[in-house]
Amino acid sequence: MIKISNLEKYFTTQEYKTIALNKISFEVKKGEFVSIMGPSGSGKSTLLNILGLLDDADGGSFIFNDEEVINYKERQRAHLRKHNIGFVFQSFNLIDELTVFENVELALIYTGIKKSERKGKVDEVLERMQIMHRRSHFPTQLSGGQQQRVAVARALVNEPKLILADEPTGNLDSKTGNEVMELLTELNNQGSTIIMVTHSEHDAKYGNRIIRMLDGEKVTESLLSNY
Amino acid sequence: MITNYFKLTWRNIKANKVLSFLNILGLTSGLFCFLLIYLWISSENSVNKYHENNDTLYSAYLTTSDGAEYGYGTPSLLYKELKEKIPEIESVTAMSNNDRNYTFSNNNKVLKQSGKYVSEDYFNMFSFNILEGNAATALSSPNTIAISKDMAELFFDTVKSAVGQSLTFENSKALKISMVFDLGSENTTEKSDFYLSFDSLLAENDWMSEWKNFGTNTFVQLTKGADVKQVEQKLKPFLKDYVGAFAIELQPYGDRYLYADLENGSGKIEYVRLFGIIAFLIMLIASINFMNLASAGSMKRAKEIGIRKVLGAGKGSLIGQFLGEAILLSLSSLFFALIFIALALPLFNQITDKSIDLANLPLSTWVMVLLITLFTGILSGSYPAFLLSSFKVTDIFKKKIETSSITKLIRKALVVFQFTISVVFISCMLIISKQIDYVQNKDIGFERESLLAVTLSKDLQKNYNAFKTGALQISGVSSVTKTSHILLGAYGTSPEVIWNGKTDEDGSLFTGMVGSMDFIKTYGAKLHMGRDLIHNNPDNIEYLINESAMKQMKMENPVGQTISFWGNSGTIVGVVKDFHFSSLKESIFPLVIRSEGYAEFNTAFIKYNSDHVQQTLASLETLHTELNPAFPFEYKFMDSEYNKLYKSESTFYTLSTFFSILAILISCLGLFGLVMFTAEQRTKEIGMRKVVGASVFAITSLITKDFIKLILLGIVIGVPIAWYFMNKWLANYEYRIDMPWWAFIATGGLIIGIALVTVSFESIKIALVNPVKSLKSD
Ligand SMILES: Nc1ncnc2c1ncn2[C@@H]1O[C@H](COP(=O)(O)OP(=O)(O)O)[C@@H](O)[C@H]1O
Ligand SMILES: [Mg+2]
Repeated sequence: MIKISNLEKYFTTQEYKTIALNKISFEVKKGEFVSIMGPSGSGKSTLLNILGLLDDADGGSFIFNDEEVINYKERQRAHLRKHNIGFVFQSFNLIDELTVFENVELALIYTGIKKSERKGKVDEVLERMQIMHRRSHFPTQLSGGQQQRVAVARALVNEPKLILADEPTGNLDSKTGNEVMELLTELNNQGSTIIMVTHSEHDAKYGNRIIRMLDGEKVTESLLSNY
Repeated sequence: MITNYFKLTWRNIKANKVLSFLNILGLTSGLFCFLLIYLWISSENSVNKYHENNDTLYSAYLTTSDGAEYGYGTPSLLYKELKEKIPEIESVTAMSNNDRNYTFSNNNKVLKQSGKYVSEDYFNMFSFNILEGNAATALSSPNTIAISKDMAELFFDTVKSAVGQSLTFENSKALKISMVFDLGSENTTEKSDFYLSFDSLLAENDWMSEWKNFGTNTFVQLTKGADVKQVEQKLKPFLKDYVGAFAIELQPYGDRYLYADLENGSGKIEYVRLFGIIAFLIMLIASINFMNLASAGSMKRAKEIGIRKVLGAGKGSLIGQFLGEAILLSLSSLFFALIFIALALPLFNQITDKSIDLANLPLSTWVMVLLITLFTGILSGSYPAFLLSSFKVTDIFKKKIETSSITKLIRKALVVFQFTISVVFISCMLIISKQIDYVQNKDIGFERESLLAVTLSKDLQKNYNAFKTGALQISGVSSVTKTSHILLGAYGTSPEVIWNGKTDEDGSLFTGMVGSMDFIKTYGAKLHMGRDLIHNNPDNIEYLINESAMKQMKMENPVGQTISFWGNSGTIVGVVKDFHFSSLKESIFPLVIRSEGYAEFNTAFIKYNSDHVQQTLASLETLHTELNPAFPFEYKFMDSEYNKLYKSESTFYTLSTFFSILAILISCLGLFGLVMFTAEQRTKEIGMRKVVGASVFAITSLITKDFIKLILLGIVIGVPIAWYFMNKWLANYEYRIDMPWWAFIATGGLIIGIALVTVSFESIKIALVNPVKSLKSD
């Protein structure tokens, strides 16, 4: 599903040029659950953003579904993104002024799905995330775990082929964190491909493979037993 | 999608109450000013253009051989000749130049009304709503009169019963009412109560039929499709055979109101342009507020934008969203602005002498209003829209967005710009007020206070001596005189003054008027040498001249010298110190005042004691009724007449004061919002500073300093601009104040003061916050 080779990314600020990704290469197959680990500043988020087509790379190759997308323009990336990729963030990133239902619905609006269809889909995914009873609440009225469920629901509602999660449990206590991990595992079992960045060895083990990064490079790659 | 935007817009408004309030208040105030001025300008622009034949109606005016404009006065017989000789002219009408006041009476009422003489075609050329009678023949038989609905209702029970009845004209002859018209609510300068036959006027005044006498207005209606240029080509040499070096030119009738002052193309149009600029600037200030507040507030919305982008929103759809929001806000502001306009219109109409009615506006005006509002929305929304939609998602989620230095610069520049405009507005306002003050209180060389102008109707002109004697017996009256002019206008000038030693090539111009005994005493003018006028003997004409005239004639001791004015030779008996007999816009002209001779004047001037004015007026009225029972007692106070000379300045001042105040208010709203955001962004920094011991004052001044710098810059830029414009404006006045430097200092002080209050209000609030709190946030 994904194949990156020699991917490079630099950040240039006034004084420094940071090499965030240093010719990193790996492959993720359809149906895999890959955990990415590494110390802070090692380039995990940068990598995830590029994989999620939120950012462009400065060199290398990025093949997504058999297509070279490295030179895609913003418009093409947005198109590919909204139909294929769902995101879950550490800080949930829900819009405070919209209700739970509306937050999830937003993802469908941008893919141009009709209003009548939207309601069914949103309700279905809220049901699945067991957050249906909160559908007309606003994010600030929810607990962290509930907010992350909504975020996952939003990531799922488009039935994306790939789910990217950047430290999804980072802002949650361990109990709620585990619930979210169970959720992701279940989704993976149902066929979703998942790439997750995490700091937690415990969480990483939910995946079938761990890629460890340091200074923008891949250092090790280990298969886990449940693969 | 759209409903989603609406929902979000509404919730954003609710979530950011202060910001939304500032935004809507700013835009509402801006739109309020703008639309008010727009309504006024469109009303000014449509004055006298309601006539069905508007496109083919023209005013004739004369130019001299060197191309200079001479005025709207034309020979009285011109209308007959034009109709006969120029085929492209379909109709022509003559009209007496000014409204004339005449006394009308019937069985039970005696009233003064004002109106004009017009010739036959008049009612066919210009649109009138004819209530009774026949427009085509209304003035064709002698001794007929067409009267307005209002006048008909004054004298008769119903409009219908008026036609066919008679009114006594100036207590001398009966006029039969042939027609009743109504101008209704038309936007017109034509306020005549009645129209009389121009042919009768001609028949009674032989001199009018002489071609060398100009004074009658001539209006022409061209045939459909006639080319004005060609007609003008024919008209240019038209007068050659009659009166020599004058050419006839045509001005579209509808243009006359705005461009009446032919000579320098100024007049009302200048105020229209000026207010147009003011309206535009105020709208700009309001839009800038919106842009600044929205871009400053963008930090708050960054997350939302990021999420939308992640979910696949394109740049276009985000721009659309923010523009939509701006438009929505401006439409709501329009709604509020219209409410305020509806409330303010009565007062506004009173100040500007208009009758604008929201319920009566043409569709086109509403369309324009809507377009302007949409444009404002788009203008104000576009900058934040492009700014916000250009944020990079990855930056947003890393909290990496900092306001870029270019954005900061733009924001600062906009604040500077706003305050520059405010500075210009306020200092201009102060200077204009000083000049108006100066003009209205200036010692003009005669005493306009406690001076009454009393109309001498018909019989009273003959009985003037009896009136004067009677008036002087009233205890409150100290002196009475009569003159040909009211000393408050622009007068013609003439070279026809001859004195001993005048050279042939001397073409000096003089203003001439006719005065009578007690001229100096009554007006309170000062004598330079000699004495006041005493004799009213045609065989022994006396002259008063002013100092300027004395200089012009280069006479050392003019008293006793013989001069002649318009062929009336007489002796100079006195020299009066220069006094202002025109607007202070003009310099004091050489003046010669001839003693009365045979002249019949229609105004007497009475110096009265200001203690018992009501009593004095009552006694004068009794006297007047005794001597002149058929006419009403009419008087004017000279000081208020004098102030009327500067009416347009006063109106302009009143309005611009109001608009200046609003401009500074709107600017401060924006400033307030900006400070709020800055403070919000710097919460952490401020917390840290407090932890290490910074005082409330230190923190307040830290925030305040940055803003005050911008305002100072606005002042530095604004002052020279204001100086430039005011210097030009003051130059219109021959008599004017020196550029008052204090006005600029006062403006600067005022603006800094207001800004300080605005800024410190918010920054003190922030400075007082417990640092533990501000460090915890985020
Ligand atoms: N927008 C940016 N501008 C400059 N440097 C950045 C930017 N984003 C990330 N970096 C730098 O790139 C490196 C990798 O960052 P990141 O991918 O966020 O690491 P991680 O997610 O592994 O903690 C870091 O050194 C970080 O400082
Ligand atoms: Mg990271």
